Amino acid sequence: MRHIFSLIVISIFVGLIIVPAYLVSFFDIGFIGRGDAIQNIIFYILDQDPNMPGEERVWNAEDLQLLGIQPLLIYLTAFWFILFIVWIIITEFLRIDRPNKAFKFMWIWFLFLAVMLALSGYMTYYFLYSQKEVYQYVGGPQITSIIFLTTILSLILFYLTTLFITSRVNRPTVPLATILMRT
Amino acid sequence: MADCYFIGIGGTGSKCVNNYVYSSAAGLGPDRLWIGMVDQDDANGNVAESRSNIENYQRVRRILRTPGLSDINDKTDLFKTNITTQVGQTSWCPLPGTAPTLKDVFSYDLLNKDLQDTIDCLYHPQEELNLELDEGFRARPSIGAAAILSRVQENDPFWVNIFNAIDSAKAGTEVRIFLVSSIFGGTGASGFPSIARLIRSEMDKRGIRDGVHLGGALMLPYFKFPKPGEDEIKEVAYAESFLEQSRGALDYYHRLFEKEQRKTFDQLYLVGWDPLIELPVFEKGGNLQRNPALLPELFTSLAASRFFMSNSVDNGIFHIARNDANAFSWDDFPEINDQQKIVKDNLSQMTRTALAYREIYYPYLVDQWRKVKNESWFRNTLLKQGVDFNNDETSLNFNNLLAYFENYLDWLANMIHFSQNATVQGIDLVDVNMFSQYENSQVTISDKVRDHQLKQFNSLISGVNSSSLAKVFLKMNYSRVPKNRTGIGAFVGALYESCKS
Repeated sequence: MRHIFSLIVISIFVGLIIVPAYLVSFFDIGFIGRGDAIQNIIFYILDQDPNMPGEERVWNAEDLQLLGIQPLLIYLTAFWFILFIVWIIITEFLRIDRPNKAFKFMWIWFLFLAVMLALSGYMTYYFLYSQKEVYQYVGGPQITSIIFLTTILSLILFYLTTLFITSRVNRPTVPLATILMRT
Repeated sequence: MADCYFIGIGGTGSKCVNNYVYSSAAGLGPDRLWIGMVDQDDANGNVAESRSNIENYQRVRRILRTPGLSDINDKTDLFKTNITTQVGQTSWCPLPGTAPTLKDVFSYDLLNKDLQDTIDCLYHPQEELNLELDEGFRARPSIGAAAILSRVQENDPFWVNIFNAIDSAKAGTEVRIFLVSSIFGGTGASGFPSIARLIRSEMDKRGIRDGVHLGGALMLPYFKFPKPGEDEIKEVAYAESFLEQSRGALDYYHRLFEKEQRKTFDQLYLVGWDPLIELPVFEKGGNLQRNPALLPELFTSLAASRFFMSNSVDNGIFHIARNDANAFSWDDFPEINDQQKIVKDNLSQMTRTALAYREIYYPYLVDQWRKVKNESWFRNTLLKQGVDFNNDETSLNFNNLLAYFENYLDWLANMIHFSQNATVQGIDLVDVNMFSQYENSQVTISDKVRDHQLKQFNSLISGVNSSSLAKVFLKMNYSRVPKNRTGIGAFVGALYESCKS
């Protein structure tokens, strides 16, 4: 039951990031930017080269959408799911059998956090910028902002999710969790 | 539920009292129980130990079962039995004072010549009439019987409890009285039939035929000890005479009960052990006589529980044998009133709770509580239940609990270690080596159980693969405190339930 609850929590929190990102990237939503997904990519993500013909910009935006954003969202979803499940398994295997012991394993939480941020950031950089299919379609300042945003979102996602999916026994491994969670 | 009375007579009787108090702590006793002891050797170490055990039990029970303050709730077996005693007189000594003799009892010097001659015929003038009885009746039931019967008085506060109980049967209350003693030795062998017949005669005097049931457990020889020195051999009980005395006593009981129209005992349990358990040390009496708990004594507790807790008292004389003469395991314990595994389940749960409390939780309930005050188990089972850790009394209560659990583990370890030698394959109940050592004929509880031993916590109880300490801690963290649990009772209740096998 505890683990089913954890899976539901993971799905909700990952969904809260991935679903809006997918909607914004693939659907034309009137109140977001220019109200058109491709136009939004062109104007807010692609490199703003004034010499590039408009038609090519559209092709690049479509390529980025299908070959960059879509795999990025799939891989991020999978990666995050795997990471959280591994977190659950690892913390269960710590076999904390007494009070005042779990907090000694806080370093594992920081290790997971580092992996989470590093891999999420790198995936974003790779899929949106450095892979050869869409190489440097995205502008330098834009990819920096996107990576920063991904890292911040990953940080929030990781903290909130681990706050809820970590068992009460292992809660002291999550910073401030014993203070924030009152159950 | 009937009003239950448990009376331990003599040294073995007081050991059985001790045993029954621990059994009651584990939830094997009735809801209400009055306990008393009868021993001429009032300073006897075993009597003192049982008295102290009763007081500690009552103290811990108050900590765990004071509604509104701290309550573990009435559905939990732990410390279920409300044990009462005669205040200030847990044990009754037939002949109080320093070194009384049988001469004093009969006021021998004041008797006329004819009576003196009669007494001289019944008792040896030098060896028996002048024998100092401050350390018991020294395996002479004939002396004990005379002393006990002459000293039981209706207005003695100790006996008032029993006689009032008999009276209450007139008002429809069901009363069950259980006597336990050894058949060998002095006080027990003499007191057991004397007190039983006295109770029956009081019933007859009051015209009570129904409502009072009398049960008893007689310990046949089950241990032996080194023969005492030549200078003491006439004064004390010695093991070689046990079988001979038992044979004589059984013959006496047979003739005694056969003659009576109404049976003295509704239920009589006979408990023995073959081969005899060898005790390494011997003390003739006094505060140094503190014989270790032995496994056969536990059977008297189970007999008492069967007698107290059955819906109706069926008449009979009961005996039991183990499945294999060379081994002893949980399967050798009888069921109690159709509850097949109750002995194993309750003793296991109590043992696991005691060890987990001592080794894992106690330090964080006293000195180090601030370190864990935000952990789930602590918040849910203690802070939310109104336990005030800034109050010195809280710490005192946890210390009392620790003391009780340590005594329990000590009792259990003694019982198993000392009973091992009479069973070829050993006693396969609890792995007491995890928390105790047996060296130089002494059992000591480890100051601290090592981590690698605690990792075997799941195999502490033989024949059961129960949950590990990690699982116990997990359950503690997710335990839901019922509404009728409060205070320290909430924590202990959660721990007790988490330690269920």
